[in-house]
Amino acid sequence: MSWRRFIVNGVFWRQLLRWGVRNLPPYLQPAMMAIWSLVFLVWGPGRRGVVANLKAIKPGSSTIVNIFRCYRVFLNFAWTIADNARFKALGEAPDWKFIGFEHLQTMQSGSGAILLTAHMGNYDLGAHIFAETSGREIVMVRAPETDPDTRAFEDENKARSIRVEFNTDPANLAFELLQHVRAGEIVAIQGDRVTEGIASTPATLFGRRTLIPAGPFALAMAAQVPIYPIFIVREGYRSYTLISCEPIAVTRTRDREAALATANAAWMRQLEAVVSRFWFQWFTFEPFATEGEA
Amino acid sequence: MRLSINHPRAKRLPSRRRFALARLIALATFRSGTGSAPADRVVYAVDADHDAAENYFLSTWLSVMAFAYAAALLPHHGVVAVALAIVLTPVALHVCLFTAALFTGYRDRDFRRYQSVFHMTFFIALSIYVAQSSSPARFVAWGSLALCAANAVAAVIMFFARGAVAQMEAECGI
Repeated sequence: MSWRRFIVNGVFWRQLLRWGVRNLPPYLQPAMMAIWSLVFLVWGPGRRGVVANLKAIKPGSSTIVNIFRCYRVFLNFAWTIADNARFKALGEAPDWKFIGFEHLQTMQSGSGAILLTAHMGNYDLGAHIFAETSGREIVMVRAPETDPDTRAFEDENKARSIRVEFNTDPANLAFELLQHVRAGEIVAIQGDRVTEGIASTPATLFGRRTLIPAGPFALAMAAQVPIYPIFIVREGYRSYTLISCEPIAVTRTRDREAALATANAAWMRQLEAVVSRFWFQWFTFEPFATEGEA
Repeated sequence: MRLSINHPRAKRLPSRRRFALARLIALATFRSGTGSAPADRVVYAVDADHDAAENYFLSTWLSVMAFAYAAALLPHHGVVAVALAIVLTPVALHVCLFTAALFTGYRDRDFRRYQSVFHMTFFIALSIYVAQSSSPARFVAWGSLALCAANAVAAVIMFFARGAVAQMEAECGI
């Protein structure tokens, strides 16, 4: 048995969570969440990442206060992954509220589309619910788990209605995604952070320079489909709100760069507005800023 | 999975609670509010364990019980007992959970009901024991036993009110 299974991304914690949702009486879960979120505060890199991001989101905030805020982020994260595990293991869905439902209906009834979201609330569960209720297949693009055992565990327990494409081979992935969108499928991409090897584009978030994936905007331009910014926010105990914003159209013009920059800026405005309101649910555990102020 | 779509009142349905006392409170307050904040569309899952107040209250209550009983049963007194009890409370909750799990093993099945029966039996037995002591924890123990008694009475009332509950569910499209 490798010690790697016990690191923060290791498979042990996924197995424990799955065991927990099948064994822990619901009325004990709030206490357990509070305890385990406190335990995970010892995870230095994650805590420092969240605190650094909070400094940017809330300028002038103190480190001590941000550590308490970090606990709130960890607690919300614990609830969201537990709700997700409960849905996968027991088929128990939380409550849902929809804001901007007309955009969602347009996306559901239209042809191919790009669903752009952030590492917020329960993006994973949101995609499952959306796919199961709409009857349309969703292609989720995500970074693979670094630990092979964790990857195998996630593959074994994934929902049937979701197809996951890993962004390990960006060149081939771009063509595959284009085919999916042209075939009328919905491609879900997280547009708030980049992982190693994927094409990125510079952006400004909370006055700091950062990098965001370039793929969604280029894909929207190539396929001539709109981008639907969707955020899934945890509202409380087993309750989520799906906020669907005004779609972003990426028009094909002579000045390709300008068109992409306009779409990029529109996304950053929406992302910044939502993150500043729901900072306690932005699950970005690495500092988002690439360097100092923009 | 039973879903109520676009019925904000469904949030207050007794069927979304686990314990009879919480269901009885929901029955009494069902028609007193609008339900939830405005949204374009709401979807409520109608199964037990969906009520935040019920679960947070019970979680807090059981944690207080574990803390009070740990402080009462420790051989220490005063601040030392309180400090040790704070540390021991999360440990005690985990010991209870994993002790019950010894009988089920690591199997991929839903054991929440079994665990719940185990926890409740254990805490009620402990409450009966502590209630007879002279420590301040006896007030928590008596409070817990009173809650159990109230829940039993509520269960009887809810048995006779099952028709009303079914009607409320029908109003919410279930």
